Amino acid sequence: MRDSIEDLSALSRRGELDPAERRRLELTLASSSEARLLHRAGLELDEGGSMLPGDDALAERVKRRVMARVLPVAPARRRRLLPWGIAAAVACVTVAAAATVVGYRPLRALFSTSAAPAPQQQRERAARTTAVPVAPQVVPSAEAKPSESGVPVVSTLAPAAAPKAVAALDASSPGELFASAASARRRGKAQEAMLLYDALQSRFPASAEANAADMALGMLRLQRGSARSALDHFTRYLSRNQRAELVPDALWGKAQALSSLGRVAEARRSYQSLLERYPDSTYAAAARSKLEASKPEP
Amino acid sequence: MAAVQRGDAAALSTFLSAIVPQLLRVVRSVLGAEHPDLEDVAYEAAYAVVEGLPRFRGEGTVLHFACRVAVLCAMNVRRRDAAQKRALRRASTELDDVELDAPNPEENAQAAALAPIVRELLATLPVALAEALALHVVLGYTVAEIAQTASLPLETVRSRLRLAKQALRKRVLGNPRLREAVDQELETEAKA
Repeated sequence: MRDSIEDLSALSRRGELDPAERRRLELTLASSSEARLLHRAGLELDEGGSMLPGDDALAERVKRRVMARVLPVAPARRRRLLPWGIAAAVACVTVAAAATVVGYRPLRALFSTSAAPAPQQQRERAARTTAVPVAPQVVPSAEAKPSESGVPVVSTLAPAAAPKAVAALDASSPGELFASAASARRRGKAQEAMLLYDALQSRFPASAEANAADMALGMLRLQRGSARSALDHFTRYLSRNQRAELVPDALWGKAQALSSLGRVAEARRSYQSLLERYPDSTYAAAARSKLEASKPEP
Repeated sequence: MAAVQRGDAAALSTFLSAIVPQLLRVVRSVLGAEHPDLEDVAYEAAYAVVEGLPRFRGEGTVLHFACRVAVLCAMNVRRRDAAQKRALRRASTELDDVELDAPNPEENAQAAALAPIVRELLATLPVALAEALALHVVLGYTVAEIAQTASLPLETVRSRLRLAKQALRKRVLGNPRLREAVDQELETEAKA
């Protein structure tokens, strides 16, 4: 039955109503505040629940974790691997202990979690799995203000987050700042993460980490409703990285930001570009659906 | 599905590639985009779907089944979070704890949004009502689809949705800022 308001509302959200049903929906919504609230809540959740840049990597990680848990390792292989695994673990512990005692710098660096800048690919992967963004003179967003050097610096940090973030700002390398920012994001400290990513881009604008930070900042700002700033980050990332691993994420993020800004035609172009260049990406189905939903009426 | 249940790696990989993005979307809708456990909850939901496949009896599509599992997993997390918050309030009235719960400027800016209220209802309504609300508002299911997915009579679903709607309205009326925003919207619509 397609007469109940719940059904009309649900079908409207999928774009499956004919003109007569749409009219009926409008009349019902106009006469019932409860129905209107429920419908509006559904529309809000549709908007907020759509895919975000970085989801591709997130979905892949979830998939791998489930597969590792569901599919047991073959017993024979496990037997062969076990002694080697134990031997490798013992060797690692021994070398790390020796490095600590002797103070041999290269070895300490090797076993440190925060030092040594990672290669480009590792940074790209980190950007996907955590949440990055930033660049040179990016995005004077609402929460940013110019520093003495003219570079935007975010200053609205929640008091509780301030001490940790301020300490992290003293990091001596882009790798350390990037790691601190990613850690803050994983802990759900979005403000702190944005502060650190912004600082990374301000202090080390030419670094690969600053480049990757554009994606994280775009994602964070998009999630927090700063579509214009997010768009700047995604656009800059795309202009600098024609074939990088995160390009599909950036195209999706750009389209989302443009949609939020009401620039429908440009958003459609970004979805189309995503589909043409990456027809098998995780975003493909969602992009098709967005294109269908935003199709101009004849 | 049979191959997935047999533990065929290729079939499982294909199945997960198809459903995990959907589960992620559902979990994000229920928990909010910035929930720190988003990935873990999506993972638990995906694992629960795979484990639950033998119990899937063909009511509705596999995707509906999977999304319902994700809704229930995410709702459990919200309900657990809410219970912990209540316990924290009871256990301590230290100033620091009070400040933790105070809305920050961003929360104030979002005060006119309905999604946070729906999420709160999912954590506080009786489970049966919360599930019906989630399947309709989060997943966008029709009454018939909810009835099929949850193996319930149509009238039961309608009744639960009616009660959930009343709860939503009550919450909106109790929020002056939101009520003001909705009233303004109504006035604008009337003028148009």
